[in-house]
Amino acid sequence: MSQKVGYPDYMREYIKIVEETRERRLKERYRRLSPDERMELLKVWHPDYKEGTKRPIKIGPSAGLMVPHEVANLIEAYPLIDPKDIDLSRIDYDVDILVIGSGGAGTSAAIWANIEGIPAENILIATKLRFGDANTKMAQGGIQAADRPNDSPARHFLDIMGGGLYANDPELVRELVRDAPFIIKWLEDLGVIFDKEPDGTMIEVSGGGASRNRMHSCKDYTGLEIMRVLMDEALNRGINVLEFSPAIELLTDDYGNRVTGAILWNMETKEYYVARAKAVILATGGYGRLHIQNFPTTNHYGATMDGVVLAYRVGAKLRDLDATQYHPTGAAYPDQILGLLITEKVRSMGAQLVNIDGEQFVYPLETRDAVSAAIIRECYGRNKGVVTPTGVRGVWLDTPMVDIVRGEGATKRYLSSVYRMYARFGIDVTKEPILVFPTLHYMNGGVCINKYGQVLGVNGIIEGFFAAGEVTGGVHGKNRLMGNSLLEILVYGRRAGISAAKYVKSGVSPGKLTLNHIPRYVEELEKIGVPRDRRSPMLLPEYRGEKVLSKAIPIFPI
Amino acid sequence: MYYPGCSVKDYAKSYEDSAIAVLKLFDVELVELDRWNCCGVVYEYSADAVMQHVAPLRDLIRAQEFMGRVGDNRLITLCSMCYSTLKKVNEIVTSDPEKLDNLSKYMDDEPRYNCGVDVKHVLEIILDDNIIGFKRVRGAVKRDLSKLKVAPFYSCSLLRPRGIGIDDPEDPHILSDLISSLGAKPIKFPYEKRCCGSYNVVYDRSMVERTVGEIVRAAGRWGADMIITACPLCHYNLNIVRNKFNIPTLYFTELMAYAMGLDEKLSQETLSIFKSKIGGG
Amino acid sequence: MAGQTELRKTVKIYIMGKEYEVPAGITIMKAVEYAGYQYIRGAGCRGGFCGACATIYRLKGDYRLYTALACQTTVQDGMYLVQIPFAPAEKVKYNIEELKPTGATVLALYPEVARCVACNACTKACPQELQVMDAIQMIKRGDIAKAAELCFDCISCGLCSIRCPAEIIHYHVFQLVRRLYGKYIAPKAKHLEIRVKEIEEGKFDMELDRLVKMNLAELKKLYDSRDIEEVGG
Repeated sequence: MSQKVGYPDYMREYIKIVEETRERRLKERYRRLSPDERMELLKVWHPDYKEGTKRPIKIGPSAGLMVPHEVANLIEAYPLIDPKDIDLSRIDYDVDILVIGSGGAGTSAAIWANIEGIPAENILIATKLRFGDANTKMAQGGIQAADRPNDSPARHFLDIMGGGLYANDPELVRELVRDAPFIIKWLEDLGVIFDKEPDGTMIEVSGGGASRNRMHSCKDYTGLEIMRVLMDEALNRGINVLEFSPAIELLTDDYGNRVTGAILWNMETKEYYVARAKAVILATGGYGRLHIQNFPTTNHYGATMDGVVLAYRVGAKLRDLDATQYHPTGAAYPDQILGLLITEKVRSMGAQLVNIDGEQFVYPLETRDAVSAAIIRECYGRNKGVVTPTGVRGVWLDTPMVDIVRGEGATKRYLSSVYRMYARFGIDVTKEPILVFPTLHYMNGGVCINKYGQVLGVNGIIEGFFAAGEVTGGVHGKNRLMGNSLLEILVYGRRAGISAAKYVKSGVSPGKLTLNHIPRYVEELEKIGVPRDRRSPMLLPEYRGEKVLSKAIPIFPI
Repeated sequence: MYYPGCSVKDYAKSYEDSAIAVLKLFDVELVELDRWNCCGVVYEYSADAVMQHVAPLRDLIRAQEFMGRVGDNRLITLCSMCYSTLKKVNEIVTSDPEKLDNLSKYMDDEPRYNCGVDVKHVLEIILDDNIIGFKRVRGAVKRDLSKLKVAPFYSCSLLRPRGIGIDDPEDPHILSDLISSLGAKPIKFPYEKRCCGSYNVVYDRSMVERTVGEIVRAAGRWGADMIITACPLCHYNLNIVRNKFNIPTLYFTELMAYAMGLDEKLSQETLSIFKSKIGGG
Repeated sequence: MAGQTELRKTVKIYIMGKEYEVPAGITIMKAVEYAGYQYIRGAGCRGGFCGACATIYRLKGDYRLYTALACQTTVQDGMYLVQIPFAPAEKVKYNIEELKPTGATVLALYPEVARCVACNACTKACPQELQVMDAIQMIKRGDIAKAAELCFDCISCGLCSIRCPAEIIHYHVFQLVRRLYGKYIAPKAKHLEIRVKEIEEGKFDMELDRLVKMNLAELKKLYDSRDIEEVGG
């Protein structure tokens, strides 16, 4: 295939330098940052701290919260629908539980609601793309749980708090670490294939910021393996899934303190559906496709922060949206895979980060925010990055070290997706290092929840409204550790599912369906002068060629 | 080289276990191909001119690739149906270069087959005096089976078509000779060459039940305690009626293993069958 | 820079038969968008993990059919392509708790597997370069463990199933095989069972409560002084 071009000659010269220092570096361990050094590094070099990239939200329950412009532009935006055009008397779907989003959080919520006693036919998962199209599938490296004798949930708790710069909600963290081993056991019983020793002991690797090696993985397809087993289980149970039907607005009752359903929109036929539900679980994931500060992203096509927008309009509080996680190792070359995730597990298995001179410049397993900042500093501050033919700067991730440290064949066996990704372009990662640069990866903050997965508004719990997964904030504080996202979606997906089920079983009747929260919100928008053409949720990023867009005529108006 | 085929890895595992053990006694080692596929015998019965030969030809190519490792071009099979289909396709592509050409073009993902593999059924190995031979078989017998009356069941694939089969399709004697050499009494009976019904057991089980019912009843009328066969499908079909007539069907290698005292290679169930038929053994 | 002129080159590709001129060196997915198509179907993770962008194409003067993932494959001049965003396939429902981890189980739920003629069309179609036929063959002989190993990197794109003359739905079959392996054949993690029980019995509750209530300064001290296990695992 003509795309197997490998590296251009001048980059091969730089690779030689990396090879020359490798033997010495194998014995080197770069010094860890002190907490003060970490803060200093972040303040100067982390994109979150860059001037002029954020502004405070002006309206709503979290007015004053600093968020990136891209986020504010979606929150301070008009709804896609005009309530006048929606006939709420004709109900298309009438269920006990409506789950919005079909990633790991949404699917596990639906399964646990079913386990808790809600019949499958009364559960509906509405999803924007296909069932399971979510960031979950792309998680590679692992899922954390403190299940070894030399480890404990308390230690896990400590790692998370420090990693999150102590901004985390300790109650949420406590439940996360406490539920973790149970979740792993549940996955094992479902049939998820974890990397294990011949006697069944889990193979657990290190992760940035974790004081114990507790990442459980399924080669480097951890997220995919978990997601597809969850999908299989949900389908076996007969849970209904409505694909290509994102929620474009939530429904509330008269007083606005209960969420009673959602307006779904069929992306293919353009028809809207009125879905009434006794309980709604929001699990819409992250915001990578907003390309904050023009970074490329690891996220899937539909990661456009729809859920935060919808929740905010019905009064949910938000938090920590000023904390954007950039994954330190996004692919920087070749251009075709720019920004794609290179799992942290590569570093867990021994690869070092190396600059153009072949020297280390940061301890590879610092927390992600620190490593990202260090790489940006190395490329733009010290000018010691490598520049690709398309002008992208990056540093080397010395992947050949993995087989040296872990034995021949380790890469092909445990990092087969990285191997494959580069083999497609003629690069053998066991023989040549790869070029990396930070990429937009994770939404640390989001909708506020309590430990039961209930969404919190200004006046406390918003009735009938639950949320789980990346769309929520508080679990990870200002910086998520590797392996805690897969954990969060399952722990809180389960909690939200169980809470929603209990709520339904307590005997609530379906609520009244109104869009009364919309005119209230629109009024606020008009007060601050938001331009009329700014609308949200975004649903999909715009990637069509500019040339074509400039000549496009929407002849079919609907 | 050894081609197992699907059934001996799963349903007919006892056939493989006993065969390997028995051959080992005579210093014959079966080295399994490191990569092989289903022989496709089911599809052999289709009218499609390419599909019916792709699967077995692919195995012949696997054997061709493996030959160098064992220094031997003989590919041995246990299951008669696998034997039949592999041998048949081998003959076809060897005698018809245009056919081989067609198939090779379709299977462009494989190296070309150069017709150098020799397909053999395990019985041919056992009865070949240059390899094992009846004399050595007799010599290895440790038990007195004189009270055991065994009916040989050849059915189709071992005998037909002429030229592919390993014995006279009209008057076969290989299995009877084997039974005698083991010291048991062979019970030749009229239905020893009859088709067991084969894959019809999937679509028309009652027809197969009738057929095997007649076969096993006949074996009983002629005095047999048990029946032996070389085919997992015959084994399955005949055993549908084993309890009805109290006549179990076993693999011939299991009989050999029992005769030679290789009890640890036989299941408890099989051992108790022998014991009950012989009476104390 | 030499690289920049590289990018200004264009190639001609044919999207469902219509000719478009697109920049050289970009992926099929980006080329389709450059040409003005907005993906509703046919794009998912955009990173090679989800199988949403399964693509079939031919090249000029070449009769062969090639397969690819649109998000991971660079455009070539003369590429004649179509995407297959959906492979019609029935997934059989089952209760994993009630199944035995055998070939017979899989064949009972997906009997088409027995029809495999070893034609290898599936292997040729697989964009992950898996040994698809061999995995199906393993199931036929009851070796669930080996089948699970061979099919692990499957992203369920469906290209194999579309090409299969026996009409096997490989990715559904493989999903069942992997769950059977993971649940019944892979050895259980004993230390995990122990830890789950310990937590149930409340062994760590006091310590966690203490940490939750701890003031920031104390928490920081504990965090900064924790010992960190050597990289490994």
